[in-house]
Amino acid sequence: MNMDEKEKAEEETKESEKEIITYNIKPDDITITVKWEFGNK
Amino acid sequence: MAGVKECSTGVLDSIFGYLFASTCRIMVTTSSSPTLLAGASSDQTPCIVQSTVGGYPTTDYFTLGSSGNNRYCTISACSCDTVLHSGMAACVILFNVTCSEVMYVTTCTTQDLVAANKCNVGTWTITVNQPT
Repeated sequence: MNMDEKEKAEEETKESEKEIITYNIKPDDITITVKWEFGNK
Repeated sequence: MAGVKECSTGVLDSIFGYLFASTCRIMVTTSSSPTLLAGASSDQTPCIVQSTVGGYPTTDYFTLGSSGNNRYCTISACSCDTVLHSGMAACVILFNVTCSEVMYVTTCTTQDLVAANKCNVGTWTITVNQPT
């Protein structure tokens, strides 16, 4: 194995060892308000 | 004496009926004002997470509830979807898979996400209040 291949193999090992992060996204609640007008305008 | 403005829970629920009749997915996007699905997931404003959780008929994904005379729908959490593109999460959208309609848009706490990691999207609610 030459130097390039060795470096590449080491890089791949580092990549595979990289820890997977889990993010948590919290969507904001939403509210719909209906405005009703009664009677004739 | 002032009259009372009120409508039945059936009327309020009809708004959610539209949601229940659609097959939906959740998308977390970097776009701050996604009105079209194409815009929310373009190269400029990449979709960073797209859930694989379907909507109706997965009925347990949406749950109806009451708060006084108001009605709300809880959208269940999506667990551990893969982050497709790196970017700053700005909005969460609920869209119709079939016709690509963006049905609901909501904000979220901005957070920098890096591709290939995992992302949970928590529960949130859509409330329809009695008329004012």
